[in-house]
Amino acid sequence: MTGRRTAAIGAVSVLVAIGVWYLATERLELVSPLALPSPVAVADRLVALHDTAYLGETIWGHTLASIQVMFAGWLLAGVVGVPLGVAMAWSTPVRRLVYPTFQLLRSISPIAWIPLAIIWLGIASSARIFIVFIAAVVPWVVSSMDGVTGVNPLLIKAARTLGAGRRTMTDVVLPASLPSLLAGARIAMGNAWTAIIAAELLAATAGLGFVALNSSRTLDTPTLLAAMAVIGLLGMLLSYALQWLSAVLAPWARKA
Amino acid sequence: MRRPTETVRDPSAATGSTPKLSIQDVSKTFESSRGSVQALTATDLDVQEGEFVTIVGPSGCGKSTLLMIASGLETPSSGRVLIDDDPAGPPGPRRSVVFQQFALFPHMTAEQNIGFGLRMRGGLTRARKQELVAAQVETMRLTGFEKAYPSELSGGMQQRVAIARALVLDPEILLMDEPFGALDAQTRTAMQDEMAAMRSRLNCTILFVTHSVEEAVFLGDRIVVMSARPGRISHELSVSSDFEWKRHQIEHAMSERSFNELREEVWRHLHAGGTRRAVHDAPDGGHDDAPDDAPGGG
Amino acid sequence: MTAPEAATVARTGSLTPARATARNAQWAAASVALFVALWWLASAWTTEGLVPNPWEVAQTFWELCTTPFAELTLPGHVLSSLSRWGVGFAWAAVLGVLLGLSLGAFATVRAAVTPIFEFLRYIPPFAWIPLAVLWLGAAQSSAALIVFIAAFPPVVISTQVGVAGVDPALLRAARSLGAGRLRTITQIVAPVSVPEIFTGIRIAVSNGWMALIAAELISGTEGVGFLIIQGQESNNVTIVMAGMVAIGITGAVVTGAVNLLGTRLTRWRKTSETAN
Repeated sequence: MTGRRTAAIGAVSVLVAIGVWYLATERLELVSPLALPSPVAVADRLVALHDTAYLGETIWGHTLASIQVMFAGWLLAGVVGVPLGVAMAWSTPVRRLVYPTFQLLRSISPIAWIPLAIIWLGIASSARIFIVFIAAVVPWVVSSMDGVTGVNPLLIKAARTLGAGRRTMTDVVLPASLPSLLAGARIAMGNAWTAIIAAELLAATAGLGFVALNSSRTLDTPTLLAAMAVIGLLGMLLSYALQWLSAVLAPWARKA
Repeated sequence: MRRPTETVRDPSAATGSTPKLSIQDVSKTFESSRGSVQALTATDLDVQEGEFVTIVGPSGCGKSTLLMIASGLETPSSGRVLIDDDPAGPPGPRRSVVFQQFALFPHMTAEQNIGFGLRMRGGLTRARKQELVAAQVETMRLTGFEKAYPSELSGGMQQRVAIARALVLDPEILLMDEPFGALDAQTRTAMQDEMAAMRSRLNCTILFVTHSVEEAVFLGDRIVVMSARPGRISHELSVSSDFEWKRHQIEHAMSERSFNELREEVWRHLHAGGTRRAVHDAPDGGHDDAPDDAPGGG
Repeated sequence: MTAPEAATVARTGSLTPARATARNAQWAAASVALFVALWWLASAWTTEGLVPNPWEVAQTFWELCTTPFAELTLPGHVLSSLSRWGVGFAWAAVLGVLLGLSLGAFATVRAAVTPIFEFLRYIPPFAWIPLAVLWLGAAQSSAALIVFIAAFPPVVISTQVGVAGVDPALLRAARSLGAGRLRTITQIVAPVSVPEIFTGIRIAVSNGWMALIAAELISGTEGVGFLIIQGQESNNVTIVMAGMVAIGITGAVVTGAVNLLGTRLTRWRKTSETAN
């Protein structure tokens, strides 16, 4: 099937889906607007939230709140996770002592840490950063460890014979493990985005998850769906942005 | 017009009876985003009942395409395929195919692979199916490996399973697409001998595609030489069954003068088409299609 | 986790497998002992009640197994969670494989569904929790719906990848042996894709489990997630930690069971992997 035909079918399918949604809600009123408002109502709300405050912030303010916390947790996880992963790959004693515990702890869902985070840190942004950190650190560690152990040993030998010495790590091993690391960064970003939404449902005073939960409690479904739409779009944007970044940083590994 | 003018028609092929398999005016053009590629120009080929025809040619000459069209798996852009003078239609048990890389189902045991076609056909009792499979297992010397998965079998064994899977359906026509191309040299020689021996037992018509000139000469009653860009039949020659080496092993055959004369003749025709190929080398790499040894002094 | 394991195996290569396993177990024990020691120090150095020590958590774990908290014992909460997880996961596995197969096999279905699916899968499952509660109330079924939403996409994607990766030669072989389209899909395409499908199933298992915990935290009336949020509301860190231990163990057991099933179903492939 040609690309043009695929695009056409896709467009028709999206239009039909929205059309059915519109007919079922706005025209035929098959479902209660409390359960599912019409797409028009959701779009209206989205436009309104652009400059009207809801729970103290516009939709932009809430988005910014979510993204800031998410980036902080994601970065912190990278700063801790990458050195840990590299150390576990590079040094046998470190791996033997840390890896089993790491495996043990990662079997606890990041979400299950939320109550603990609330007790320890309250509902401040540090609690949410902590949750994002827990969710994002695993892929950072795993991908940097896999990346380093996956480096062809011949490359390391070659670097040594060429006199790389201590620079083997920085000049050969790290660049060679970059594709794996970037893949891990992308997974970590996805996890972080998922985790921030969950954390905001339980411990927040701003953010898109906070908006979603509060709007559902006041049965304000248009706002709930508007928040979900923004969450989906941002998740998609973040994923594409990191894909693009991977292609720029490690162009030799297109399909990593 | 039934044949490109430069082709030399071998008189022995033009017998009066109805051919078992008749490929008439068949061509194939592949459409891609970068335009269309003609894989095969209008081609005619008749194969008589019980005949063993080998098709030899370089990478990109359309020999596999021709075989796939004959099997019904590929539809020709023009022309038609007849079996006993009737349109061949979709693929079916009258024509069995043995594929280049064996194409064994990895999740089925040897036995299950061999029985697959029987299960698809239906109408046979369980006992009858088991009996037919067991008979193939025995003739293909696979006893003891019935329950093995393809990944547990050697290349030669996998190939025997693939042949058994095709033969169990008792096909009228057997289509083989470089069946020995993926084997190592020793296994390959053994399989060539086995194929020659098997031939006398089989009562079916065989179309056999290969890139090995020796294989084509050793196995074929008739050799069809194809050339590339555009893919076409450039020559046909028949091999008399009177040659003594036909009943020997391929190792012995290769030291016979008559074998080597035939071999050189095929190489000459390949080379005539090959001068063009040197200029437009196949873009697809053709690792398994290229002739494996260069013509001596040509 | 295959790479570091492979590295360990490579480094202990001179040992027999049994002795290598024993040595790995010793190191794992050392690692856990070190962790427990650090935990103990942390509880000693922090304010009373903020970080309970491992012994207190173990005791509470045992008490929770016999004495009900938030109406059920700990095993009761675990079973309650598992039953909802099971319903959501089963639907996700069945419908996910079916959708994945159709996406892989039919270009038209793929073209029509992909844009909608691609957008919806970027909405984290947790974001659906408020909507699910709105639709189905705080009932069992809303948690099962969240499990389904979390587990469905990985199954669909991996099945589609598996189908796309099936060697076209196998399809030709099936066709030439007389298999129609439906039988080619059920007897060749689906079983050959099983290893890929299981990659997705494994992700679905843990995604679903995580989403269930979240749903129970927010709108649960029972289950391990509900247990730990109740622990938090009564400011009892020991109960929270005991619940977290239960969540970790249950998650690991379920993952292990699914892995076992996956290895059994793909036995034909394993031999080829070790051979190559």
